[in-house]
Amino acid sequence: MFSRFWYFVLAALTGIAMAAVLLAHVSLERRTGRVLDGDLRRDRTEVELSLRTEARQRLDSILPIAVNADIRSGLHAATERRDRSTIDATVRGALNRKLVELNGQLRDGHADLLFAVDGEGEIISQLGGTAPQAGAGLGAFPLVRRALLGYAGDDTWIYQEKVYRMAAMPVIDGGRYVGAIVHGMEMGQPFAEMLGRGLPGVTLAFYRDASILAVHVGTFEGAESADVHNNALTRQDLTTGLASALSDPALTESGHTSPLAAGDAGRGIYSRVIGSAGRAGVGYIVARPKETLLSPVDSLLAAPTADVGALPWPLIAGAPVVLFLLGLLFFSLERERPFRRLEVQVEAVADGSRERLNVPDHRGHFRKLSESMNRAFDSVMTKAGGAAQTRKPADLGEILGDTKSVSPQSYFGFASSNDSADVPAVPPAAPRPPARPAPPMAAPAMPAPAKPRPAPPAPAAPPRPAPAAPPRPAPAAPARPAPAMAAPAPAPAPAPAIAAPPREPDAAEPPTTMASMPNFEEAGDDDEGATMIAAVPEELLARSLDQGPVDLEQQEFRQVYDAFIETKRRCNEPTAGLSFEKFRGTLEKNRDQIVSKHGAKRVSFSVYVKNGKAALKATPHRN
Amino acid sequence: MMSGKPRPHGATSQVESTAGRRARAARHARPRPLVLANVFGSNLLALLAGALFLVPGMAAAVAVSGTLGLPESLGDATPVPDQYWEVRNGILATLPDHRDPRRELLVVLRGAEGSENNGCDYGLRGGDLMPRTMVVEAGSTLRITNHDATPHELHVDNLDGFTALSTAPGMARSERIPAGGPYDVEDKLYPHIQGSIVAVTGLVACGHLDAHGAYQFSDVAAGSYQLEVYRAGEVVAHQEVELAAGADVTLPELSVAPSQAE
Repeated sequence: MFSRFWYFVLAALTGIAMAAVLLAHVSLERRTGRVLDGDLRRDRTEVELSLRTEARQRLDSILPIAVNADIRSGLHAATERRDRSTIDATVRGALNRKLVELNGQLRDGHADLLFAVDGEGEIISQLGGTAPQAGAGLGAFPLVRRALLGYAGDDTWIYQEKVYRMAAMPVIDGGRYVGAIVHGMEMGQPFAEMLGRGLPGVTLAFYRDASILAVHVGTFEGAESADVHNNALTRQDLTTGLASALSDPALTESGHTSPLAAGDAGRGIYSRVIGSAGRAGVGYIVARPKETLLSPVDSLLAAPTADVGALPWPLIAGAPVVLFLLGLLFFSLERERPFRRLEVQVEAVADGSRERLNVPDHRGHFRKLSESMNRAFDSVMTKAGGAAQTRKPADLGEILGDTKSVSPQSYFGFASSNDSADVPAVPPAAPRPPARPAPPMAAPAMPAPAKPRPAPPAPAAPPRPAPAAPPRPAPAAPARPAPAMAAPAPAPAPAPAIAAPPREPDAAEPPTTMASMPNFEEAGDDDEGATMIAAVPEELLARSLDQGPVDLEQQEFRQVYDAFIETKRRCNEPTAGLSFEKFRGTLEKNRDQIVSKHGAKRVSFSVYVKNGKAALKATPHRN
Repeated sequence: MMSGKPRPHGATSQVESTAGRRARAARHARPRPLVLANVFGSNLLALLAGALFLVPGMAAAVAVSGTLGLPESLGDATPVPDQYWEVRNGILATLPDHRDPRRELLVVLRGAEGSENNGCDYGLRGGDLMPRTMVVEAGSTLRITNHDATPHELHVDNLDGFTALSTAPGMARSERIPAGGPYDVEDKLYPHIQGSIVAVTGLVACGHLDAHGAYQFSDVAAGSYQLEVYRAGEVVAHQEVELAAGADVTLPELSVAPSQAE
């Protein structure tokens, strides 16, 4: 029972553990997705802050250009010129040289596109980009127009097919605005990398319409974590996500989308850049690769050493060992030990030291098994040579279990070791008289005179195997058939040590098998004294039929007592102090126990010699 | 910026003759004896006949000028769509950001019959349309020249074929405009560029407007005209004009009302 319960517990624990692991995996993936989206929102905020900061830094950085004396004077001259169709080459040249010099001093903030425009917004000098045609200007661009009015600001432009982050600063000379410095930094690969350096693990890209302009793939912080598989985002992933982002109304309405799938490998937020170019389809992508969790098995296999070392190994190793030992204990208690007990008894049966298995020693299936084996023994015996008794008289030791606590004067064959030592084994046949009529002992027990009854079936052959039969002298045998080994015996079966009470045999059970005890059969070959009980007076038997059950039982007890005393005497055992009252009390006590234990309706007792000592056997009757 | 060469409908041939004459005169200035021999030969009669026809025509063309009574402000200019920073310079007071009349307004003359060769010159200058309202003869071709250093992609959403095609610097975008309008024109690359196209009949000439509202038409034939001032695709002022041959005209001041959009 415990082992089966243990199996159930183990199976339930296994199922629960598997379900817990899988649920935890799913839950963790969902949580990872939420964390990823949260990270993306923070990343976008950081990018916005970075862009804002960078815009301000560039505004500050071009201030030295705007206040440079050469720049101011050059633009002043350009603004004041009368002929607007031409520009003095000297002025233009001086401005170009100065712009190159000052732009070089900006280092990381140097311009990819740098203009010096006069008060009308006309380009006087330009660095980077395609040289402008004569008269080209920027004065109508809001950024430049505002700069010419005195404002410094920033914007984003698509200029000559490239995207620039622009900044403009007014140039003041002579108490008036004489032009502006317009600074542009291309939103290309260098800019993406510069901006992405501060965002580890983030893939930052700039796009224009459906095209990716530049991509910076940030290193993944958790790359060394083996339980997370990092799929590097590709340009194709970003482009795939961009297609759906451009059709997302949120991009137009709020300037950015919610976290969207960026291909199969990641998620990203698509945002418009701040400025004119943002309204012309320019934006940036903040994306991160999906952190796909490995399967539980793969996580175990790929676990890093540090993680493995951090596990609570005493608990992890100890708990299974304790559970394993507990399982072994349960198994031993329920299987190994009962099986061993059965095995010992079976071996005892096999080597002849035991006739049958002791059923009470076993429980559960082993008890059923032992009962089945006993039946099998009977069946084999029957087939081997005689009518096997369907139910052998039970030894009280079998029925009542261990009786070692019983007094050394036990009536049930468990004499003390001293007694055993003192009383030598009694040859069963020796004290018996010579042959005499067949059932001298059985006759008194049979109520034949009062109520004729059919002859009992052939006396059941003793289930005891031949070796168990005590040796007997050959000359005694010829006088009568050998009932002990009982092949179909003639009607006058040998008398047992004591007859069963004078009752009709049960329909379902053969007559009490006491009569088939080989020892007593042999004793039948001796004189009647060897049968230990005198014949019951006929009148007593007849009267007993009219008596109540109690009287009959008392009478039976008396007969058993007499047979027992007689047998003990024959075995040279002391009988002093063995009063009938005491004997009867013991029988009643054992009778009650047997009845309650086996559910028998009645119990019959018989006397036999076991190991040279008188012993009692009880036979429960269910009917 | 915009120099109109308005001519009444029907004077197209005269204009072409005048141009031919000027070209020939230029060629005659160079020493070409053999050509002179030809001129005095077979072409002499034709030359004289042409001169007889041209002189009365040239004498009929007049110059029309005037002034627009502008409101104190045409409104604030289009701001930067959105930006991180805009700060005052801290040194000099900032200037008001008023709209430029040269971009906002267009003065045209309309007569009984218009012409595609009306001298109206539209373009992209300084990063915006100049002017923002473009009036064309219905069914004729609108030509917008890109004078900037960067491409533009003008488009009109409700005009078939006027899609966002890139116009490189120095190149012109030409589209035939059917009657009707105004059509809103935008630049895909620069959201601050927003203009209007109006297709009318009888468009004779486009005037030249300066920053103070003074306008001028040159070489306008005598006749009856309607002077119209456009802003944001709408006529915000108009005036009947009768031009007599041989006398330049200065029209009285024409007040410009704020556009309905304001």
